[in-house]
Amino acid sequence: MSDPIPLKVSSNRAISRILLDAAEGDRSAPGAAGRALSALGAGTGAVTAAVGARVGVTSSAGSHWLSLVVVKWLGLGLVVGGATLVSTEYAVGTLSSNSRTASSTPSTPSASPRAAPSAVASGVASSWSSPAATAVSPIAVPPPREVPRGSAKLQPSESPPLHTSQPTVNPLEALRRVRAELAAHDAPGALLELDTLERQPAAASVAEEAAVLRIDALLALGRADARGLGEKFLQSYPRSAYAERVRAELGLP
Amino acid sequence: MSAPETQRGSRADRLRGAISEHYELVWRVLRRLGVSESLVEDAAQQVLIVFANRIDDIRIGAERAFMVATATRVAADFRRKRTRSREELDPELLGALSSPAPLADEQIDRARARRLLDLVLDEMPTELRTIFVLFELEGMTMAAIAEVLNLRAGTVASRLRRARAIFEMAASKFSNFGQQQ
Repeated sequence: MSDPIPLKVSSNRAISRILLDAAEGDRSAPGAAGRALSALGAGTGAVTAAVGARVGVTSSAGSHWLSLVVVKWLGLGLVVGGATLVSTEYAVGTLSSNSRTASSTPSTPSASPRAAPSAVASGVASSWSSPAATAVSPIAVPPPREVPRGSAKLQPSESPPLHTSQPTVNPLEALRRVRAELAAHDAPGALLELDTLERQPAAASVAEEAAVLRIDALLALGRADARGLGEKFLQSYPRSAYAERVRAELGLP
Repeated sequence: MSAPETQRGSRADRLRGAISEHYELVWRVLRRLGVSESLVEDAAQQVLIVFANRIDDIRIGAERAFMVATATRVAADFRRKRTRSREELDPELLGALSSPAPLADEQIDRARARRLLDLVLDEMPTELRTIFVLFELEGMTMAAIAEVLNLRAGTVASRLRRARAIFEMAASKFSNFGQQQ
Protein backbone atom coordinates (compact mmCIF):
# COMPACT_ATOMS: atom_id res chain seq x y z
CA MET A 1 0.00 0.00 0.00
CA SER A 2 1.66 3.23 -1.09
CA ASP A 3 0.58 6.41 0.59
CA PRO A 4 -0.76 9.27 -1.51
CA ILE A 5 1.02 12.60 -1.53
CA PRO A 6 -0.41 14.83 1.19
CA LEU A 7 -2.98 17.36 0.02
CA LYS A 8 -0.93 20.18 1.44
CA VAL A 9 1.49 19.51 -1.38
CA SER A 10 -0.64 17.92 -4.04
CA SER A 11 -3.95 19.81 -3.97
CA ASN A 12 -4.72 22.01 -6.96
CA ARG A 13 -6.82 24.28 -4.80
CA ALA A 14 -5.01 27.11 -3.06
CA ILE A 15 -7.69 27.25 -0.37
CA SER A 16 -7.06 23.62 0.54
CA ARG A 17 -3.38 24.24 1.00
CA ILE A 18 -4.03 27.43 2.95
CA LEU A 19 -6.45 25.74 5.33
CA LEU A 20 -4.15 22.80 5.92
CA ASP A 21 -1.23 25.14 6.53
CA ALA A 22 -3.30 26.99 9.11
CA ALA A 23 -3.16 23.95 11.37
CA GLU A 24 0.59 24.34 11.65
CA GLY A 25 0.09 26.76 14.51
CA ASP A 26 -1.77 24.25 16.67
CA ARG A 27 0.04 23.93 19.94
CA SER A 28 -0.85 23.80 23.58
CA ALA A 29 -0.49 26.67 25.99
CA PRO A 30 2.89 27.00 27.67
CA GLY A 31 3.12 24.79 30.73
CA ALA A 32 0.12 22.64 29.82
CA ALA A 33 2.08 19.40 30.00
CA GLY A 34 3.48 20.34 33.39
CA ARG A 35 0.01 21.10 34.70
CA ALA A 36 -1.23 17.79 33.37
CA LEU A 37 1.61 15.99 35.11
CA SER A 38 0.92 17.74 38.36
CA ALA A 39 -2.78 17.00 38.18
CA LEU A 40 -1.91 13.35 37.84
CA GLY A 41 0.38 13.56 40.84
CA ALA A 42 3.30 12.60 38.66
CA GLY A 43 4.96 15.96 38.37
CA THR A 44 8.46 16.69 39.41
CA GLY A 45 8.90 17.91 42.94
CA ALA A 46 9.23 21.45 41.75
CA VAL A 47 6.16 21.30 39.58
CA THR A 48 4.11 19.62 42.28
CA ALA A 49 5.19 22.17 44.84
CA ALA A 50 4.34 25.03 42.52
CA VAL A 51 0.87 23.72 41.89
CA GLY A 52 0.45 22.88 45.54
CA ALA A 53 1.25 26.45 46.43
CA ARG A 54 -1.30 27.72 43.94
CA VAL A 55 -4.08 25.60 45.33
CA GLY A 56 -3.11 25.96 48.91
CA VAL A 57 -1.97 22.38 49.12
CA THR A 58 1.37 21.43 50.46
CA SER A 59 2.25 17.90 49.71
CA SER A 60 4.82 15.51 50.92
CA ALA A 61 5.84 12.96 48.31
CA GLY A 62 3.27 14.66 46.16
CA SER A 63 0.23 13.34 47.93
CA HIS A 64 0.07 13.93 51.69
CA TRP A 65 -1.18 16.86 53.69
CA LEU A 66 1.33 17.89 56.27
CA SER A 67 -0.89 19.74 58.64
CA LEU A 68 -3.93 21.91 58.73
CA VAL A 69 -4.69 25.34 60.01
CA VAL A 70 -8.33 26.12 60.45
CA VAL A 71 -9.46 29.55 59.54
CA LYS A 72 -12.98 30.43 60.48
CA TRP A 73 -14.98 33.25 59.10
CA LEU A 74 -18.16 33.51 61.07
CA GLY A 75 -20.90 35.89 60.19
CA LEU A 76 -18.75 37.58 57.65
CA GLY A 77 -20.68 38.93 54.73
CA LEU A 78 -18.72 39.26 51.56
CA VAL A 79 -20.16 40.18 48.24
CA VAL A 80 -18.29 38.10 45.75
CA GLY A 81 -19.30 38.17 42.14
CA GLY A 82 -22.85 39.00 43.07
CA ALA A 83 -23.10 36.24 45.61
CA THR A 84 -23.00 36.69 49.33
CA LEU A 85 -20.80 34.51 51.32
CA VAL A 86 -22.37 34.28 54.74
CA SER A 87 -20.03 31.92 56.36
CA THR A 88 -17.45 29.44 55.44
CA GLU A 89 -14.45 27.79 56.79
CA TYR A 90 -11.57 26.30 55.12
CA ALA A 91 -8.26 24.80 55.82
CA VAL A 92 -4.98 25.58 54.27
CA GLY A 93 -1.70 23.82 54.32
CA THR A 94 0.52 25.56 56.82
CA LEU A 95 3.48 25.78 54.55
CA SER A 96 1.49 27.29 51.73
CA SER A 97 -0.60 29.74 53.63
CA ASN A 98 1.46 32.64 52.37
CA SER A 99 1.02 31.54 48.80
CA ARG A 100 -2.71 31.43 49.26
CA THR A 101 -2.87 35.08 50.17
CA ALA A 102 -1.40 35.88 46.81
CA SER A 103 -3.93 33.85 44.88
CA SER A 104 -6.35 35.44 42.49
CA THR A 105 -9.43 37.36 43.47
CA PRO A 106 -12.82 35.92 42.60
CA SER A 107 -13.19 38.24 39.66
CA THR A 108 -9.92 37.09 38.21
CA PRO A 109 -10.25 34.09 35.97
CA SER A 110 -8.02 31.13 36.65
CA ALA A 111 -4.89 31.22 34.60
CA SER A 112 -5.69 27.76 33.34
CA PRO A 113 -8.50 25.27 33.68
CA ARG A 114 -6.42 23.47 36.22
CA ALA A 115 -5.51 26.48 38.31
CA ALA A 116 -7.45 26.58 41.51
CA PRO A 117 -9.85 29.34 42.47
CA SER A 118 -9.28 31.55 45.42
CA ALA A 119 -10.48 30.40 48.78
CA VAL A 120 -13.21 33.03 48.81
CA ALA A 121 -14.59 31.97 45.47
CA SER A 122 -14.41 28.38 46.55
CA GLY A 123 -16.43 29.24 49.60
CA VAL A 124 -19.14 30.65 47.41
CA ALA A 125 -19.16 27.52 45.35
CA SER A 126 -19.43 25.28 48.33
CA SER A 127 -22.44 27.18 49.56
CA TRP A 128 -24.39 26.29 46.44
CA SER A 129 -22.88 23.02 45.39
CA SER A 130 -23.53 21.27 48.64
CA PRO A 131 -27.32 21.16 48.38
CA ALA A 132 -27.02 19.78 44.90
CA ALA A 133 -24.87 17.00 46.21
CA THR A 134 -27.69 15.60 48.25
CA ALA A 135 -30.41 16.30 45.77
CA VAL A 136 -28.44 14.86 42.96
CA SER A 137 -26.46 11.87 44.01
CA PRO A 138 -28.24 8.69 43.08
CA ILE A 139 -26.28 6.88 45.74
CA ALA A 140 -27.40 7.24 49.32
CA VAL A 141 -24.74 9.07 51.22
CA PRO A 142 -25.38 9.93 54.84
CA PRO A 143 -25.15 13.70 55.09
CA PRO A 144 -22.84 15.23 57.62
CA ARG A 145 -24.88 15.76 60.78
CA GLU A 146 -23.71 19.33 61.31
CA VAL A 147 -24.81 20.82 58.04
CA PRO A 148 -28.17 20.33 56.44
CA ARG A 149 -27.13 19.84 52.85
CA GLY A 150 -30.37 21.30 51.59
CA SER A 151 -29.35 24.64 53.00
CA ALA A 152 -28.48 27.19 50.39
CA LYS A 153 -26.09 29.01 52.65
CA LEU A 154 -24.15 28.02 55.65
CA GLN A 155 -25.25 29.84 58.76
CA PRO A 156 -22.62 30.79 61.30
CA SER A 157 -23.96 28.43 63.91
CA GLU A 158 -24.06 25.65 61.40
CA SER A 159 -20.47 25.80 60.34
CA PRO A 160 -19.26 22.24 60.36
CA PRO A 161 -16.27 21.51 62.48
CA LEU A 162 -13.32 19.88 60.86
CA HIS A 163 -13.45 16.14 61.02
CA THR A 164 -9.91 15.74 62.14
CA SER A 165 -10.52 12.12 62.97
CA GLN A 166 -11.42 11.39 59.37
CA PRO A 167 -8.64 10.71 56.92
CA THR A 168 -7.94 13.79 54.86
CA VAL A 169 -8.39 13.57 51.12
CA ASN A 170 -5.93 15.04 48.70
CA PRO A 171 -8.29 17.12 46.57
CA LEU A 172 -6.24 16.70 43.42
CA GLU A 173 -6.26 12.95 43.88
CA ALA A 174 -10.00 13.07 44.45
CA LEU A 175 -10.53 15.07 41.27
CA ARG A 176 -8.38 12.59 39.38
CA ARG A 177 -10.61 9.78 40.60
CA VAL A 178 -13.73 11.70 39.63
CA ARG A 179 -12.37 12.24 36.12
CA ALA A 180 -11.45 8.60 35.86
CA GLU A 181 -14.94 7.58 36.90
CA LEU A 182 -16.48 9.91 34.37
CA ALA A 183 -14.16 8.57 31.69
CA ALA A 184 -15.28 5.08 32.64
CA HIS A 185 -18.91 6.21 32.34
CA ASP A 186 -19.41 5.77 36.08
CA ALA A 187 -21.26 9.01 36.78
CA PRO A 188 -22.86 7.75 40.03
CA GLY A 189 -19.40 6.84 41.31
CA ALA A 190 -18.15 10.28 40.33
CA LEU A 191 -20.97 11.94 42.27
CA LEU A 192 -20.22 9.85 45.32
CA GLU A 193 -16.57 10.82 45.09
CA LEU A 194 -17.53 14.48 44.80
CA ASP A 195 -19.81 14.20 47.82
CA THR A 196 -16.95 12.75 49.81
CA LEU A 197 -14.59 15.43 48.61
CA GLU A 198 -16.97 18.23 49.49
CA ARG A 199 -17.09 17.12 53.11
CA GLN A 200 -13.39 17.79 53.35
CA PRO A 201 -12.11 21.17 54.44
CA ALA A 202 -9.67 21.11 51.55
CA ALA A 203 -12.55 20.95 49.08
CA ALA A 204 -12.65 24.73 48.99
CA SER A 205 -9.40 24.81 47.10
CA VAL A 206 -10.86 22.88 44.18
CA ALA A 207 -14.50 23.92 44.41
CA GLU A 208 -14.60 25.40 40.92
CA GLU A 209 -13.29 22.29 39.22
CA ALA A 210 -15.41 20.03 41.42
CA ALA A 211 -18.52 21.98 40.42
CA VAL A 212 -17.72 21.53 36.74
CA LEU A 213 -17.20 17.81 37.21
CA ARG A 214 -20.49 17.57 39.08
CA ILE A 215 -22.21 19.21 36.13
CA ASP A 216 -20.51 16.69 33.82
CA ALA A 217 -21.70 13.82 35.99
CA LEU A 218 -25.27 15.11 36.06
CA LEU A 219 -25.23 15.55 32.31
CA ALA A 220 -23.95 12.04 31.89
CA LEU A 221 -26.93 10.84 33.91
CA GLY A 222 -29.29 12.97 31.86
CA ARG A 223 -30.29 14.90 34.95
CA ALA A 224 -32.28 18.05 34.31
CA ASP A 225 -30.81 19.74 37.38
CA ALA A 226 -27.47 19.97 35.60
CA ARG A 227 -28.75 23.11 33.92
CA GLY A 228 -29.62 24.87 37.19
CA LEU A 229 -26.26 23.98 38.61
CA GLY A 230 -24.60 25.26 35.47
CA GLU A 231 -26.44 28.55 35.70
CA LYS A 232 -25.37 28.94 39.31
CA PHE A 233 -21.83 28.13 38.34
CA LEU A 234 -21.83 30.82 35.67
CA GLN A 235 -23.24 33.34 38.15
CA SER A 236 -20.56 32.54 40.67
CA TYR A 237 -17.69 32.23 38.20
CA PRO A 238 -18.63 34.38 35.22
CA ARG A 239 -15.03 34.58 34.09
CA SER A 240 -14.06 31.04 34.84
CA ALA A 241 -11.84 29.21 32.39
CA TYR A 242 -14.59 26.59 32.43
CA ALA A 243 -17.40 29.03 31.65
CA GLU A 244 -17.40 28.44 27.92
CA ARG A 245 -17.31 24.71 28.43
CA VAL A 246 -20.27 24.81 30.82
CA ARG A 247 -22.26 26.98 28.44
CA ALA A 248 -21.44 24.69 25.53
CA GLU A 249 -22.37 21.54 27.41
CA LEU A 250 -25.66 22.95 28.62
CA GLY A 251 -26.50 24.96 25.55
CA LEU A 252 -26.63 28.14 27.58
CA PRO A 253 -26.20 31.51 25.91
CA MET B 1 13.73 0.48 48.28
CA SER B 2 11.08 -2.26 48.26
CA ALA B 3 9.84 -3.89 45.08
CA PRO B 4 6.45 -2.14 45.08
CA GLU B 5 8.17 1.20 45.61
CA THR B 6 10.50 0.51 42.72
CA GLN B 7 7.54 -0.43 40.56
CA ARG B 8 5.71 2.75 41.53
CA GLY B 9 8.82 4.77 40.77
CA SER B 10 9.31 3.27 37.35
CA ARG B 11 5.62 3.70 36.58
CA ALA B 12 5.82 7.37 37.50
CA ASP B 13 8.95 7.77 35.38
CA ARG B 14 7.21 6.14 32.46
CA LEU B 15 4.18 8.36 32.90
CA ARG B 16 6.32 11.46 33.04
CA GLY B 17 8.31 10.36 30.00
CA ALA B 18 5.24 9.57 27.95
CA ILE B 19 3.53 12.83 28.83
CA SER B 20 6.53 14.98 28.12
CA GLU B 21 7.08 13.21 24.83
CA HIS B 22 3.51 12.90 23.57
CA TYR B 23 1.43 15.58 25.28
CA GLU B 24 1.76 17.96 22.37
CA LEU B 25 0.68 15.27 19.92
CA VAL B 26 -2.35 14.42 22.07
CA TRP B 27 -3.26 18.10 22.29
CA ARG B 28 -3.02 18.58 18.53
CA VAL B 29 -4.99 15.46 17.70
CA LEU B 30 -7.79 16.49 20.07
CA ARG B 31 -7.86 20.01 18.70
CA ARG B 32 -7.87 18.84 15.10
CA LEU B 33 -10.56 16.30 15.79
CA GLY B 34 -12.90 19.07 16.80
CA VAL B 35 -12.40 19.74 20.50
CA SER B 36 -12.62 23.50 20.95
CA GLU B 37 -9.49 25.23 22.13
CA SER B 38 -10.96 26.04 25.52
CA LEU B 39 -11.68 22.37 26.19
CA VAL B 40 -8.60 20.73 24.77
CA GLU B 41 -6.68 20.78 28.03
CA ASP B 42 -9.56 19.03 29.80
CA ALA B 43 -9.81 16.48 27.04
CA ALA B 44 -6.06 15.89 27.13
CA GLN B 45 -6.32 15.31 30.85
CA GLN B 46 -8.90 12.61 30.21
CA VAL B 47 -6.55 10.93 27.77
CA LEU B 48 -3.75 11.01 30.31
CA ILE B 49 -5.96 9.60 33.04
CA VAL B 50 -6.88 6.67 30.83
CA PHE B 51 -3.20 6.23 30.01
CA ALA B 52 -2.21 6.36 33.67
CA ASN B 53 -4.87 3.85 34.64
CA ARG B 54 -3.82 1.43 31.91
CA ILE B 55 -0.11 2.01 32.03
CA ASP B 56 0.69 -1.51 33.16
CA ASP B 57 -1.19 -2.96 30.21
CA ILE B 58 0.53 -0.83 27.60
CA ARG B 59 3.48 -2.37 25.85
CA ILE B 60 6.72 -0.44 26.11
CA GLY B 61 7.04 1.54 22.91
CA ALA B 62 3.30 1.56 22.26
CA GLU B 63 2.62 4.67 24.35
CA ARG B 64 2.23 6.96 21.37
CA ALA B 65 -0.20 4.69 19.59
CA PHE B 66 -2.23 4.19 22.76
CA MET B 67 -2.46 7.92 23.39
CA VAL B 68 -3.50 8.69 19.81
CA ALA B 69 -6.15 5.98 19.84
CA THR B 70 -7.47 7.21 23.19
CA ALA B 71 -7.45 10.80 21.96
CA THR B 72 -9.63 9.86 19.00
CA ARG B 73 -12.20 8.33 21.33
CA VAL B 74 -12.13 11.20 23.80
CA ALA B 75 -12.47 13.70 20.95
CA ALA B 76 -15.48 11.81 19.64
CA ASP B 77 -17.06 12.02 23.11
CA PHE B 78 -16.45 15.74 23.28
CA ARG B 79 -17.88 16.23 19.80
CA ARG B 80 -20.99 14.25 20.67
CA LYS B 81 -21.53 16.36 23.77
CA ARG B 82 -21.12 19.51 21.75
CA THR B 83 -23.58 18.30 19.14
CA ARG B 84 -26.11 17.32 21.80
CA SER B 85 -25.96 20.53 23.73
CA ARG B 86 -25.36 23.08 21.06
CA GLU B 87 -27.97 23.95 18.55
CA GLU B 88 -26.35 26.94 16.99
CA LEU B 89 -22.97 27.44 15.43
CA ASP B 90 -20.20 28.84 17.52
CA PRO B 91 -20.45 32.63 16.96
CA GLU B 92 -16.76 32.73 16.19
CA LEU B 93 -17.16 30.13 13.49
CA LEU B 94 -20.24 31.84 12.21
CA GLY B 95 -18.21 35.04 11.92
CA ALA B 96 -15.55 33.29 9.92
CA LEU B 97 -18.17 31.78 7.66
CA SER B 98 -20.17 34.91 7.00
CA SER B 99 -17.45 37.52 6.88
CA PRO B 100 -18.03 39.55 3.74
CA ALA B 101 -14.39 40.45 3.30
CA PRO B 102 -12.47 38.04 1.13
CA LEU B 103 -8.77 38.00 1.86
CA ALA B 104 -5.91 37.99 -0.55
CA ASP B 105 -3.63 34.98 -0.51
CA GLU B 106 -0.79 36.84 1.09
CA GLN B 107 -3.12 38.51 3.58
CA ILE B 108 -4.88 35.43 4.78
CA ASP B 109 -5.22 35.73 8.45
CA ARG B 110 -3.96 32.51 9.92
CA ALA B 111 -6.38 32.48 12.78
CA ARG B 112 -9.31 32.97 10.46
CA ALA B 113 -8.06 30.25 8.16
CA ARG B 114 -7.77 27.99 11.19
CA ARG B 115 -11.39 28.59 12.07
CA LEU B 116 -12.37 27.86 8.50
CA LEU B 117 -10.42 24.63 8.70
CA ASP B 118 -12.55 23.64 11.68
CA LEU B 119 -15.67 24.31 9.64
CA VAL B 120 -14.43 22.23 6.76
CA LEU B 121 -13.37 19.36 8.99
CA ASP B 122 -16.75 19.50 10.69
CA GLU B 123 -18.28 18.46 7.39
CA MET B 124 -16.72 15.04 7.75
CA PRO B 125 -18.12 12.14 9.70
CA THR B 126 -15.91 11.34 12.68
CA GLU B 127 -14.45 8.15 11.22
CA LEU B 128 -13.31 9.97 8.08
CA ARG B 129 -12.08 13.02 9.94
CA THR B 130 -9.90 10.90 12.18
CA ILE B 131 -8.13 9.30 9.23
CA PHE B 132 -7.81 12.63 7.45
CA VAL B 133 -6.33 14.39 10.46
CA LEU B 134 -3.85 11.65 11.24
CA PHE B 135 -2.68 11.40 7.64
CA GLU B 136 -2.87 14.97 6.34
CA LEU B 137 -2.14 16.94 9.49
CA GLU B 138 -0.17 14.60 11.71
CA GLY B 139 1.79 13.05 8.86
CA MET B 140 1.18 9.47 9.94
CA THR B 141 1.44 6.76 7.32
CA MET B 142 -1.64 4.79 6.39
CA ALA B 143 -0.02 1.66 7.83
CA ALA B 144 0.54 3.40 11.16
CA ILE B 145 -3.03 4.69 11.17
CA ALA B 146 -4.34 1.22 10.48
CA GLU B 147 -2.37 -0.12 13.41
CA VAL B 148 -3.36 2.63 15.84
CA LEU B 149 -7.05 2.45 14.96
CA ASN B 150 -7.07 -1.30 14.51
CA LEU B 151 -8.42 -1.05 10.98
CA ARG B 152 -7.59 -2.87 7.79
CA ALA B 153 -5.29 -1.06 5.40
CA GLY B 154 -7.95 -1.02 2.71
CA THR B 155 -10.42 0.60 5.09
CA VAL B 156 -7.95 3.36 5.90
CA ALA B 157 -7.26 3.96 2.21
CA SER B 158 -10.92 4.16 1.25
CA ARG B 159 -11.79 6.41 4.18
CA LEU B 160 -8.91 8.70 3.32
CA ARG B 161 -10.13 8.96 -0.28
CA ARG B 162 -13.63 9.85 0.86
CA ALA B 163 -12.34 12.29 3.46
CA ARG B 164 -10.18 14.04 0.88
CA ALA B 165 -13.10 14.40 -1.49
CA ILE B 166 -15.24 15.93 1.25
CA PHE B 167 -12.41 18.23 2.29
CA GLU B 168 -11.79 19.52 -1.22
CA MET B 169 -15.47 20.07 -1.81
CA ALA B 170 -16.03 21.82 1.52
CA ALA B 171 -12.90 23.92 1.16
CA SER B 172 -13.97 25.06 -2.29
CA LYS B 173 -16.91 26.88 -0.68
CA PHE B 174 -14.35 29.25 0.77
CA SER B 175 -12.21 29.61 -2.30
CA ASN B 176 -13.05 33.30 -2.53
CA PHE B 177 -11.09 33.78 0.68
CA GLY B 178 -7.95 33.01 -1.22
CA GLN B 179 -8.52 35.47 -4.05
CA GLN B 180 -7.96 39.15 -4.50
CA GLN B 181 -11.08 41.20 -4.01
